[in-house]
Amino acid sequence: MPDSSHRLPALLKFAYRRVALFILFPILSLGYPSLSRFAVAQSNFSQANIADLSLEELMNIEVTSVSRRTERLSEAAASIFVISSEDIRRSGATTLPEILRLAPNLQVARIDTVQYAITARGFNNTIGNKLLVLLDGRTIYTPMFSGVFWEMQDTVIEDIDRVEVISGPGATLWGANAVNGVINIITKETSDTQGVLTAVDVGDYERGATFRKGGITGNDIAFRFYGKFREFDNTILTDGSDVRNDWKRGQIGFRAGWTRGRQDFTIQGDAYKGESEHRGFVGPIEIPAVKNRSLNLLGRWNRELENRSNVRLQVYWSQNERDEFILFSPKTDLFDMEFQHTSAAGRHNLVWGGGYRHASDEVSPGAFTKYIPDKRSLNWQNVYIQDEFPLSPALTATLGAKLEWNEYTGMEYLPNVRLAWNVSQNHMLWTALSRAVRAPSRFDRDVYFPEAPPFIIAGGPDFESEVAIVAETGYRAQIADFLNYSITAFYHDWDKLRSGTGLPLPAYLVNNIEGSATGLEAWANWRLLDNWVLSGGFSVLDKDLRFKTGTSDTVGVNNYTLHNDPDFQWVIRSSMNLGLNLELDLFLRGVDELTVAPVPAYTELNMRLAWKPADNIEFSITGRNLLHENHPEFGALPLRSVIQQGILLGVKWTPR
Amino acid sequence: MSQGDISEYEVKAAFLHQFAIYVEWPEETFSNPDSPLIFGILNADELADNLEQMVTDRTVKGRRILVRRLQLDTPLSGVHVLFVGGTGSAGGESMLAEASSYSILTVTETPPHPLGSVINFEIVNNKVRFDIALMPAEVGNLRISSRLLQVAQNVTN
Repeated sequence: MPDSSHRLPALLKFAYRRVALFILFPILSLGYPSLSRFAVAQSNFSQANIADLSLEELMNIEVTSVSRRTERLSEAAASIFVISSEDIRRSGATTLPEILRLAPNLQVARIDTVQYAITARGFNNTIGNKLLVLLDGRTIYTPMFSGVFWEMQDTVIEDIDRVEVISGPGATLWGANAVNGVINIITKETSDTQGVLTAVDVGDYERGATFRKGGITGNDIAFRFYGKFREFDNTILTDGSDVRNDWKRGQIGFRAGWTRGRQDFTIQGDAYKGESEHRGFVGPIEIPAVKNRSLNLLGRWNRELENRSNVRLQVYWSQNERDEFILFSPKTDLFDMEFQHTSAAGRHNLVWGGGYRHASDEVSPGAFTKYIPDKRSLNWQNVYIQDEFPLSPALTATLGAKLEWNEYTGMEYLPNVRLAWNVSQNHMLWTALSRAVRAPSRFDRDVYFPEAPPFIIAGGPDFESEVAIVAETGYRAQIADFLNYSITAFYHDWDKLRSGTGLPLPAYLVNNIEGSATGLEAWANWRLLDNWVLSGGFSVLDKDLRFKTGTSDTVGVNNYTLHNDPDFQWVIRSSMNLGLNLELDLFLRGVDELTVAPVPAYTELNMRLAWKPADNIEFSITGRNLLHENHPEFGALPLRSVIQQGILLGVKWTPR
Repeated sequence: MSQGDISEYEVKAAFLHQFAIYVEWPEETFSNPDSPLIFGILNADELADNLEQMVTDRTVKGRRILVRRLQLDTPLSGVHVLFVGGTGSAGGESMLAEASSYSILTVTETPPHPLGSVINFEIVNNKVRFDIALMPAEVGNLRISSRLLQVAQNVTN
């Protein structure tokens, strides 16, 4: 493994210069869209109810000391699973994708060292494109193919406040691409991350170190800054041979927040650099390392107005570069601005707003693909409005719509209607009907394969948006303070899914596939004893896809990007405090077989034992994938990696 | 689902109830095993209202809970938890001083943490947080569970 120590100072210097430069960038900033934007029903805990909450739950309640509304996700009429910071800590997860495994309503498959396929409600693949992912309000999917390069996404894991995972459409508030789900990763406020945190972990296949420092300036600006480094050892193939995909990455960042009267301000930014090892030679052809860089800077401004209303403005800029010899090497600049007004006057909770986004890119061809044109600028604009109001004391309705304009298909209309019925105080039945689209990405219109004529694939000049009409219904209940559960049934009626054209070549990307995805998602959380919590969940999925009458292509419906999902998956977690400041956590998961690029069904177990001799120090040992020496999760033979068993030792210390 | 908000004092009342679970009083502060646990509330009617509704039919370690609204001249004997509301002094200091001669869990909501108060609430980012001072607890012979210390924002002497 090459020595990386000489690279880190250069990275820090690079990142420092860029961040310092862009801190001068004009900042207006503001409250990012947490699910509060989505929450359709306001809470009303009775006192009896509140008295049943644990200390931690009480600490997480936002109180309305000012005019701010309190919103409880547990009362939103949607399929929402929240991963708390405590869940994250106790899972021993060290990366964002591993954290996402905790959500029963997501399908997470590890491809190799740092690449993952992640989706909700199906269509999982390496370039999955039906999920919207936000990190502190910043959209992190690439406009190149509307998917996420997961290896480029990181933050201080310990500083994550929560991850909100909605399965199902969130298009009215979040926009195109929020078709199968929204993942909202939210880090803590700077006032909650004061002091120093150092975390080091060493494992047989990965290791890393994190340093974060938080403080408050004389004029009450709470801030933090951090640096982290992580490396991953290469994976192996089924025959045991090494894949040359060692990966190293470093990231630094900061966040600052302050309140002046009724206004809140936040500025945050990160700089990231990651690269693989040199990937060797195929015959005489050298395959250089994959290299990634990204920078982002975001500002938010939040102002409370009279009459329990609120305005927010958020602006961010981000730049991503990825050098990848085989596929393609994109460089993308993104500017995004959004405005939101919420008010809770009278019986109506009204949210309206709008946004503008601009992306410009430059794509160098890879060995196999190229984009034509190789440079392109795209713009998106949207306006939306949503109202939530009671129909009767127990029944709440939500009506909303977004109009989103993109350069490829023009105006897209994204409406939704939701009903929540409080059957009794802690039991809610909800139902929703939505229309969501996945608008074309650069890939859908402009990708060519191979990178020189004669082409086999020659873009998709007529590619339109993929459209889903989604019906969902769910039931959520809290039984006393020891048991809660949620169950959701969904039906996605799909139209205009991506396909190719038939012979003769070249083929074009078109929208000739239609069909449906039907399924069930359920989870429960059961506090058996004061010191023992069991939780579990599962998802069932049945897709039925077909070509529209009279059409076909050369790969068919049963292909790798459309039809490679497990029918069934489940998770069970056990969290136990053993006394003597010991914690024991078990995380068992099962995923049914994949049939298109066949992967056998598997069951795996992670286990973590931690000792906290004092409240500011923690030692932990985490075993991953303990049931088998190795197992594959995704991909086609013969180049498919297997994921190996591993042990990780960790220390976290927050000096006083 | 009805519309509504969670007020600061609902949450503080719930915390007070939780504190009683995680604090141990000396046996002699209760006349017998099922005598009630008594909350004394000064200058905080909204909290007292919330707490009263909350603790009906609830017990802490088998004890019923009584909520008493205190005046400045109410004697403190028999009280187990004293909450002094408001950010001004309004006589609260003398009440805290008097409480130090009993085994009373004193709770305040004034920045900075007042002398003689065991637990002091603070609102941080619209969330209720609290600090714990160990010395006044020791003076009152109270035992605070480590779980409560763990979730406290700051623990000082």
